[in-house]
Amino acid sequence: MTIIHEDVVCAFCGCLCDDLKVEVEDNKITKVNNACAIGRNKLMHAQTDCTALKVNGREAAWGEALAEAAKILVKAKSPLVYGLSSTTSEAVREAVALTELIKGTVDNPSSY
Amino acid sequence: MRHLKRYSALAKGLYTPEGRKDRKVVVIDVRPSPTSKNADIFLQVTPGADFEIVHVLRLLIAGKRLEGLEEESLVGGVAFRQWQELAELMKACRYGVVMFGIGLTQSRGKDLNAEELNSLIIELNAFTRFYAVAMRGHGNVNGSNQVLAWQTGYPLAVNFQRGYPRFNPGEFSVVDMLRRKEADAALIIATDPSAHLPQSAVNYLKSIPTIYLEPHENATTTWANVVIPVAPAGIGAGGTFYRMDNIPLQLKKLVDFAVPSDLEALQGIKEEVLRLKRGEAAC
Amino acid sequence: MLKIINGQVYDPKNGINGVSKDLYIDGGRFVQPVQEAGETIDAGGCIIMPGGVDIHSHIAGAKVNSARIMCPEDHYDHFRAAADCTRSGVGHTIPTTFLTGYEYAGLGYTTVFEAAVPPLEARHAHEELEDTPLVDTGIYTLMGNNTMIMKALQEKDAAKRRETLRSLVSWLLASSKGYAIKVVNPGGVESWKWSAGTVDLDTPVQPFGISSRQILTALAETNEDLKLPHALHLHTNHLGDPGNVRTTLETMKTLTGHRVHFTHLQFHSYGITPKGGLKSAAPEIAEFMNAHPEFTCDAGQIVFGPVTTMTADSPMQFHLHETTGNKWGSFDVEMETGSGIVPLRYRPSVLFNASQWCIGLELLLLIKNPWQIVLTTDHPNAGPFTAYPQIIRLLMDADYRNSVIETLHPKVGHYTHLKDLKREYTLEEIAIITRSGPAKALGLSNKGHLGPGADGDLVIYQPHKDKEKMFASPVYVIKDGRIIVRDGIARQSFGGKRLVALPYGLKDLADGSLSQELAQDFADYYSISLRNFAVQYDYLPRMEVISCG
Repeated sequence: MTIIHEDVVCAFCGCLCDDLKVEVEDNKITKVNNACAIGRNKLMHAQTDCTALKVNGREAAWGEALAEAAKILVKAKSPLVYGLSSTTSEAVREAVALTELIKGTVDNPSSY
Repeated sequence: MRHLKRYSALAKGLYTPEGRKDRKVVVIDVRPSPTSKNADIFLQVTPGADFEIVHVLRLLIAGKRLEGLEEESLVGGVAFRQWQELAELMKACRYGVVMFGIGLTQSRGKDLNAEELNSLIIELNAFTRFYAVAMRGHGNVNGSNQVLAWQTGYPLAVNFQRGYPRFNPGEFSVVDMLRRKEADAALIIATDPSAHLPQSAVNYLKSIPTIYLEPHENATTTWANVVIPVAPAGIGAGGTFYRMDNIPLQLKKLVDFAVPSDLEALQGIKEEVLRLKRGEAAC
Repeated sequence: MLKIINGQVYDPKNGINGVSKDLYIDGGRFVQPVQEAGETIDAGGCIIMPGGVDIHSHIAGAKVNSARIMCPEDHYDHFRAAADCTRSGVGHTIPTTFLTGYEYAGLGYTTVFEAAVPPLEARHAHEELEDTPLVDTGIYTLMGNNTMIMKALQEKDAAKRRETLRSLVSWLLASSKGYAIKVVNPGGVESWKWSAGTVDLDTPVQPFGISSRQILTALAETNEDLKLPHALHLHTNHLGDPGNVRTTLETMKTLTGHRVHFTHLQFHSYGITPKGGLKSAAPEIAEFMNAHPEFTCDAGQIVFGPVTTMTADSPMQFHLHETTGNKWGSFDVEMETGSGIVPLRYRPSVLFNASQWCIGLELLLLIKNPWQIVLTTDHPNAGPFTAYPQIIRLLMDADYRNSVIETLHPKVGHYTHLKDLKREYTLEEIAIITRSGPAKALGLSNKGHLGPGADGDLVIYQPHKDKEKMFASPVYVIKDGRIIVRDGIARQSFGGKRLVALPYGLKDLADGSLSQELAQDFADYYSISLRNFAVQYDYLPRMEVISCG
């Protein structure tokens, strides 16, 4: 089954071109129109090279990873939360809430 | 890459129906580029002279006499006469916009260059309408500035050690914190530190427990202590991004991923943290 | 079930004026007395009022957030640490979203409207309001310099023009999930974008040659055609200019018979001295208001100290930057509007500021019907909302007021009338100008009163001779039947409702659409796709739609 998404917003750069046309066949992106070369490339390869969940170099379960992450953050005296340049503002809101909770520091790539 | 077509040089508007023909495009850069080839005027400047150039433009706009500068004297590697012409062009245009990027903000002078440019823009408004737009790189780096500002009051470099937000770039900024080895753990979300930070900062990160939320394999996923795969925003997860000029757009999920979104992963970590800190959440 | 017993109740809408009365809240709303057991608060010796309603404030969205970024110096000395149930925050005149919610709630306010949102940036305002706890909120949608509206006004056929505006305004409101039509310096912002001069009511504005008067009369008519719950919310031309009373009165005459809310009227009630200085024209404005019950207004009272001015009135902000030399931010919102930001400080020793301060209080004291004027500081333009208790004291205590006048620039008496005014507000009148009146002006039948069916929002105050102390620190604030504040401090943090108007004629908020011609304009001239314009329901998880008509 092919689904055609119109007026898709490209998440790659700060231009946020919002006129892309993306074809999805059986949950796989098969065609991207209107995007620049980088944007198209980003979309076409979004579903490959995905990371695996790992704790200390070995594959792990979701719950274990969350518990380990929480343990690290709670134990730290000065945890740093950083990045947030390619995620949603909803996620950033949550990241700031978490930083407040662990009394950490939060920063993004606009500081350097 | 579609900036020229959609937003700047080529865009057609209500008052610029002919698009490119209705406007003058000036490119100032240290080297020729595809953009400079299509410019009406290209001023190839020497690196590191940004502050000086903008300052000279400010003085020209203000109508000050510049002692000792002849028409052919070089300012930033370009004849003073050309800066005089540019100043006149800027004052005389109906509506001007300066788009500036990290070439200005991350070279010698950094924030002082941006400050000087802002002053130039403000002063030009005595003559005509003029604006400046920062060219933001990553898709939602502006959104993270926006959210930080509404939740903490500050757009970056925020510290919560005292329970409330404090702001001090240079102290609470990532590169400085890592250089001084002041962080003892890191949670990195949707950014590849190995590709962006100085090598010394990355080396220090490798020495502290690091949690990494990232959709794709990259240099950092090979060494982070905890790697949590997430669905890429705008492809496998929906949500809001802020364009470089502050226009917010909602991104939709296009395909299903077997893994959660950044938001869900962060919620999961927060719940675990709450559990460790005080049992179940109280409110 | 929550019972509040033995309190002295002020509920002006229901004609209750300081009578001892028990109140019952169940399921988040006031209900008839019941026998059922439940939590009881004994409010013996205390005063009870409905939750406060702020009809005009700037608390969320692009310009507020740009101001936060521009002015970190506003934040350093004003902070609140995170606690068990509440988030941290900073900021004095431009507090962060969480702190905004806590501070409003701490003063007994449970409903606040963000007064100026461009449709293109509405999503941002709604995102911030999601992070503004403890208050029900809504936004006013900016339309007074919208290019599509000005284009539609070119139509010569009156009936066709009216119909086009109906559908265009419905669509703008529904897309932005707005509550009211907001007009700021009609035509003046667009004119400034052309580097053209300021506009009077009949100045033709490029590119379509439409005037402020045409925009105003058409939108006032459209507001009524759409049976919107609130009046046309209007910031008139020439804000802050000595002599602007001429424009304000002319605007009032033009709009006579229409439902209009004149916002921050203090800034628009300026006479002019022969030398071009400022003098009060509050008496003329108050006289007009007193003769026109169809109009409401809010004060925009000056508060001495630091403020952050921010408005869609970009030419006014540029002028303020030029006259003060203070830092300035300005934004051009494509086809819709502009905006500007300038931080400044009002000083009692500066004659202009002292006169402004007197003019606001004169309006509050000279407009006879308290249902026609609302207490505001146009937060954070004339002052921060946290100064409301201080203003209440100025209104209730003439001796205190006169003692403050003594500290002003010595010549202020030559240009203002405040020292001659003896009126002191009663508690009932305060209840009207801070909750019942604004709720009525907004058409919110569930707000501003304590009758059965109303939202379960109330405030319990400990009476005090110093009314500032009394209103600054309520003993209890209750929202939707939940205790959110004890002794002036917010102890909870949950999201309020988002109030959205459904224009008459639309089935639902997704029902509106642009005409084919305007949709083509949108495609040609907006920088985003039409499909990505309307604010999605995801941004309003607790939406309350107020139907019109």
